Amino acid sequence: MKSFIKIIDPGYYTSIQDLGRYGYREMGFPVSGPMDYNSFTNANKLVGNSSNEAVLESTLKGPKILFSSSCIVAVTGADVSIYKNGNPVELNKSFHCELGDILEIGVVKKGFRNYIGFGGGIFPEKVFGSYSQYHPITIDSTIKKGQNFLINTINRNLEHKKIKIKKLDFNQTIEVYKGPFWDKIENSLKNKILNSEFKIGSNNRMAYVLSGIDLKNKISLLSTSVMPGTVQLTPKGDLLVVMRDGQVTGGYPRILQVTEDSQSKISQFATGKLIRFKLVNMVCLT
Amino acid sequence: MRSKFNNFCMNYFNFGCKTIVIDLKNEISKKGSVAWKSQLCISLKKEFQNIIYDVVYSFSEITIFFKQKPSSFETKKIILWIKEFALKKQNIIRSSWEIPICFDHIFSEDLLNHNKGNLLAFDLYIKEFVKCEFEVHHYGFLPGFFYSTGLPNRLHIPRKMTPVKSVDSGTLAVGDSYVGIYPQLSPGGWNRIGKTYYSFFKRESNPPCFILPGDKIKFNSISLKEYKIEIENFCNLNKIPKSSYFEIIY
Repeated sequence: MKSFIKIIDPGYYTSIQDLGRYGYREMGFPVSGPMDYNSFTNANKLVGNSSNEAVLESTLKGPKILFSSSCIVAVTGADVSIYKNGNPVELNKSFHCELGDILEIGVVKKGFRNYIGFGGGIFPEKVFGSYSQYHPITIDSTIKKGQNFLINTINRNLEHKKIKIKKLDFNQTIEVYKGPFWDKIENSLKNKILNSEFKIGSNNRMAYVLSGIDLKNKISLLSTSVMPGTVQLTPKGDLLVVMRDGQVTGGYPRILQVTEDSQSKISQFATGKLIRFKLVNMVCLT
Repeated sequence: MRSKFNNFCMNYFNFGCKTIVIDLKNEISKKGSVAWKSQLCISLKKEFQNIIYDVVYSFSEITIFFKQKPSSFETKKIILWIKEFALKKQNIIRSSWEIPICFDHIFSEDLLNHNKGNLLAFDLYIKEFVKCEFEVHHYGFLPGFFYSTGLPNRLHIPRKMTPVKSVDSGTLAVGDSYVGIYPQLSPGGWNRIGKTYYSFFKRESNPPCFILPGDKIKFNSISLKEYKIEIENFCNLNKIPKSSYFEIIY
């Protein structure tokens, strides 16, 4: 049976995300997908979904949702108050919602983003192989008040999945490995970057700007490809971390690459948080 | 890593676990015009679509995004394939486009400012601009935004220090040595010099972009009246500009 959820209040910035849109980067399409991959995966696991099912990703303040049928739901990510019909529900645990139930996710207490998984998945329009919202590839970049989204209750798994979920790590260390330009910058600059604290400035799904120390430089390059996690050094001396909706090419030197785990981690950090980089060797799982 | 094959040297390195960057700065790039490089990427992606998601090229390198971390066997196979592609004769078909642009002052605020309101200088700029033939280099910045090269030095306009909040879809703009058309309303740091009524990103079509890297572009000046008639007809939203094919043999 197909049924719907209705968005009563979209929250501060809530978008639909699956694993992302691949195969169109040569036309300038960002890959999109979840900012905090780990919490995204957990949201799907908790409701018994496959790993590429679409979920809601909220930022700062979560949405308020009305259910038109029963469904298994789970919220993961930032520490936040969750209410079902006004009664508190636990984070990182799956629970049932029935016809007429209202789920409300509050303002984050610690962390920045939440993921709301629905058993069977949520089905907005699929564009170029993905449900991930990114304007203008999809009509909207976020969910809107009053919208209805199809949820698939045919394959719903009414079993509550119990999985062990690691607490979010708010330690300031962001693990990186060398980017293509790292070995071309002076040692003094390298030391400065590895031994200083950086403050998170403006940030969104496209990029995180980090500043803190004087890294002004005159490096001028032709544009090269970048991807989520790429740390670029701007002429002004800021560091620009490319995130999921980021551009596919960039004209600044690619000095570092944030590990996939640390990309999830930084996604839970908001403006003002101080971070440090730790250089690690690239470890790839085959 | 460095790999030698006949006279071609090719450097490549891992950039993240699932990504390989191939440096085209050396011998191999001598062959490499834009059309050749973009064709290499298109063919490579098609040939290895079971293991590759995306192939992106920029000025001096191509970046291959794999679905999984590639095995050393897969990497070698791809390197060998690229070398064979480079050695084989390639017949590449590309298009020449004629894109109508209205250079009326309401669409060319930044060019006016650049010329400090000097209308003679403004007209001279447009006169020279429409004589130029541009080559589409690559897509980036936004879905459907293509960077074109071929602007003579004297027509370069530096990018703005502070981008403006919204640039209209269809706006023709100059950023340093590049020329581009904004495919949708977005913030932008390039200088607005004119506007077309054609749409360069069609989300209902697959592929959504009809212009390929290696294509040539010329801009024709049209009056504000002509522009308005076309806009009112609305029919150009699904149309594409006039073009002709040309063949390049490498």
